[in-house]
Amino acid sequence: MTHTRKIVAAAVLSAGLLVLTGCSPFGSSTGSDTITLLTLDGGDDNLALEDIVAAYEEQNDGVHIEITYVPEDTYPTKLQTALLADAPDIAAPYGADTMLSFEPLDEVVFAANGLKLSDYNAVEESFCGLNGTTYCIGTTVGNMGLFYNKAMFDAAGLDYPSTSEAMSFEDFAALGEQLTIADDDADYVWGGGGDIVQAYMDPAYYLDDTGRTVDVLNDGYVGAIESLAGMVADGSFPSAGQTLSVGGSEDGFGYQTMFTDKKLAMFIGDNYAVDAIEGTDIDYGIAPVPVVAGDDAWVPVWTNSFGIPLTAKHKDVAADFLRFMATDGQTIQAKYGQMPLLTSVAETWADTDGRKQLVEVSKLARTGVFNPNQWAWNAPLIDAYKAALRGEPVLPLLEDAQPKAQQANDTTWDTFDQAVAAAGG
Amino acid sequence: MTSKTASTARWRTRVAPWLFLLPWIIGFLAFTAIPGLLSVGMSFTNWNLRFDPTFVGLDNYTEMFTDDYRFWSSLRITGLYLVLSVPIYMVLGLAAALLLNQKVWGIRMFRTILFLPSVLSGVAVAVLWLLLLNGDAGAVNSLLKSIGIAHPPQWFDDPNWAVQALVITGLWTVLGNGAIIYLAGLQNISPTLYEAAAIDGAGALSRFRNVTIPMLTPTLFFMLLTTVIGGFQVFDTAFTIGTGRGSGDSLRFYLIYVWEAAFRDGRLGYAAALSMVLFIIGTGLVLILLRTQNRWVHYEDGA
Repeated sequence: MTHTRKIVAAAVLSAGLLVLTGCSPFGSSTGSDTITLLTLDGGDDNLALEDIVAAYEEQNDGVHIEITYVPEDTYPTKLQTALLADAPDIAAPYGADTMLSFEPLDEVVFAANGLKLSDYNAVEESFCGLNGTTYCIGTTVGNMGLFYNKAMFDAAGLDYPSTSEAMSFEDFAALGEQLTIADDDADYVWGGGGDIVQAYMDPAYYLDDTGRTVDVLNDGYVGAIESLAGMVADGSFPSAGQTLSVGGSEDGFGYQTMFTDKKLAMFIGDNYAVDAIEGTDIDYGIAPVPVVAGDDAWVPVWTNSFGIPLTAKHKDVAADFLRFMATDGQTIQAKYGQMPLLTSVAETWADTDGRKQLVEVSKLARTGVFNPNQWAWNAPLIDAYKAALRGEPVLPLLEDAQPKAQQANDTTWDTFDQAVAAAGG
Repeated sequence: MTSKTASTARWRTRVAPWLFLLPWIIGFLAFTAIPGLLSVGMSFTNWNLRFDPTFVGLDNYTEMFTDDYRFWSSLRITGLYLVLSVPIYMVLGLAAALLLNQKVWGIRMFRTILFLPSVLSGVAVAVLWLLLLNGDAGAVNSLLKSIGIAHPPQWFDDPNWAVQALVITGLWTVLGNGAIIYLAGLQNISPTLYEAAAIDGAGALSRFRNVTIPMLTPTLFFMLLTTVIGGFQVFDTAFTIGTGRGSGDSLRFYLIYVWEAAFRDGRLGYAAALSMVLFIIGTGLVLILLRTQNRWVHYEDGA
């Protein structure tokens, strides 16, 4: 190649890059084609992400996406320091206040590519949205559900729970009692069990409309805990120690193990249980989690999330990758255990009756009271719940817990408000 | 020797120790002194990684003392742990050392067995004891039920017993380590002292009270200091057992709260203030112990 040809080629390439820059919604060009992606270490879920990344790289010659996984307990700090120093091009926001350090995606990912939020599970809006703006996109839907063993319902002569309407806590307790087989230790079958109530109860029963005031001294919240505590007292709900003894904790995994061991007829847990249950011969069904009597179904949902930090260097490629994640990536996700976020793909993912019910239940998800991070302040409520399940009277426990929870919730909000103010919100 | 050579030698003599100390000095300044001083400054700000710090005066300290139940709760939990663990660990460590000091067949094997848990990771120990202390199906409660205790404690699942359960968990790991240090102290006591006491007609108990204990006081003092400091540093086992989604307040030790404030909630200024309070409490306690040593610690050189 002569010098002249080299100069012409360089000029054409430069012009091309300038045109691309001019078309860019972010108005900046990419320096190198290595895109950095910072996310939580999701264990088996990492496989789906890596497959999506590989497919994108195959379609885009020269683009390389470098994933960094960080364990969840250190992720908030890693993310914050990364955002301050050398921001990744794509990262998982962590908590509502960190969303404000990310680019809004409504235009650059959704509108620019003809994607509609309504085509995705409601979690996209509730988990990735803040004040009507969308800051992230996920690949999966996680949701809480009531898993039940159909054979045990048949044996007890009971109808299966509805997939579209939630039962009340009182109904759950009554069903649990009917399903319990109080035999000797080896053959004992508990009727029902489940994760801590804070994991699946509508926040409207422990927070006011603003999410700033903790109010647990209401009939709905007290009644729910009394129903569950009554089940433990009656022997139809395994105690904390009984679930721990099968290698799980009270955050759900123990109940899943008891269910797959056929020691539990129904349990409230998350959809990660589907794979484990489908690895057994149990014919299972899924219903919405119990609610306060008379309420509409409340399905807690969440997603893994990916956004573009405000200080990212390769925003165009990052936005294009998120577009890919929101479209073709959903189909790739469907090959793995977790339900995809795009409802139409989730329906094709649901190739068993149980999964079909899971999709139906997840569609019942709706947005509720906003709170920046309930897990940062709800420890007193969890202590009260556990004490109630050990047999202590519910009301005095909650009267003691409420002011403590309020104090911690105030701190959570203070931090959030300061972050919003710092972001100019 | 010329005056120039002498001057060079003097300079070398003066500088050489500092050169050898330099790596430690750099490390101390970089990782202890400067961060420590910065922490003092940070404790008067609302610094959060999400936004720039602003000076808030004593607000963090005011909040801590007047409007933060988690501060008082974590202080109470840490204090209870210290009150329970220090005497138990010291007495049982000494008892184990006395047993390991016997000249019996296979004693080295027993020493190894006792020491092994102290090299295990805190997380592994936590998981093991979580199962052993399971309220319904754990080995400990099965044993208690078999000897007639119908309603044994629910241990980690009962906030009233969680700290006690952690003391038991810790005992398993610190016992061997403590026993080895006590053993070194015991074997350092001159046999002639025991012989002299025996000639004077002292029995086993008298020899223990009048020879072993006084001669062991430097070791006891060292163990007291390290056990107290260790009590303030409880983190890994309590973190493994008592934090995460679904956990309450019962195992929120002080250091765990500092960690939560800094790295979960991002409140670095507040966490620095919490650290300052811990530093003051810890330093105060250690100073008190140091002041008391003249009254009960016996050093052979009369120091």
